[in-house]
Amino acid sequence: MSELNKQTIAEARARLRAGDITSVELTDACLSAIEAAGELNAFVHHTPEIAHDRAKAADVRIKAGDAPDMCGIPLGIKDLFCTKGVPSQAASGILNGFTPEYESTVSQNLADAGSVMLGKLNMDEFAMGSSNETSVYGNAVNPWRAGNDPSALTPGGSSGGSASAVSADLCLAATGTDTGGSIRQPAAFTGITGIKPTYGRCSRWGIVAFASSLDQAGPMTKSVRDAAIMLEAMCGHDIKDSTSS
Amino acid sequence: MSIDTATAAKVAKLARIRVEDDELPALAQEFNTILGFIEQVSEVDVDGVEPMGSGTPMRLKRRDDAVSDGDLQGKVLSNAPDAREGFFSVPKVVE
Repeated sequence: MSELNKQTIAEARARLRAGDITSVELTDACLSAIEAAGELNAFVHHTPEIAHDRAKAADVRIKAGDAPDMCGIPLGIKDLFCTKGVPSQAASGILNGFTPEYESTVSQNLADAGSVMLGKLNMDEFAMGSSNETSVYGNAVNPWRAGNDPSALTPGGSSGGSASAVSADLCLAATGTDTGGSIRQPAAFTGITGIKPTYGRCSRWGIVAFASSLDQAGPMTKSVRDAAIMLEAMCGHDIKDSTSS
Repeated sequence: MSIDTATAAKVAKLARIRVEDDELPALAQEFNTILGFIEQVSEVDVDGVEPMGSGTPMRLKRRDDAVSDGDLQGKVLSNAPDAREGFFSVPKVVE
């Protein structure tokens, strides 16, 4: 059972629908993995209560036969996304204590699809960096090592916490954002899959802006198939972002 | 056009950036390099060339000019360090 967190979205989706596992079990496996991986400094705000509530709700939906693709899937959300009632400070001390009264469109889409938010993920401050070394929370660490050398390596950035968390199986997938490589480069550094979708594919509403005409949110996952499944749930036109389609 | 140290000092003052006197000549030189590049660009012959604002001739979508939400004063002010009588409260900055 301890291996539940190592599944891909596609595997977990099939087992959830078949009734082999529950979202609560899957979520607990991820929460335990997160607790044991404090050294990676990937998760910086933990939301186990929200995770449990959503997992229970997802299990009810799945039982009722209403199970969208992402239903019951535990995710990490990059700190750049505003999440209602949960600290969202873009890894900056400037936004210390800020708890949004609203939810970003992408994280709302994922929540509507039944996914489970485990917490917020480390990143470079205001997404400006490529090594996750400019964060107010401290460096995020790559779960990989160079051979037998124990030195901590960078997971890349700015979505360094997302990359580290997915690579270390702390969550099944995570959201990232990419302005000039912030999904693609950390995904490459940690051996996972990441895609910067075409501009406009995902709504930018509720995501702290870096360069508005270049920013895009995208999935960071363990496989290409998972990236397709997750992007489908994230994307779509949003009346609050006139450049979304 | 050339920028002297007095002009550089004035620009720095307007930008609220402190520049020591001995660094002013270098700053003035940097300004001159930038202005020199702009002059170089203006040498390009653009007679008969249509101005291009975007690579795709699309107009940004617009939504209806209608009220879609409101009455969110409490939520808007909930993150303010200091709010009074329904307004953000900030330190006085103008004497």
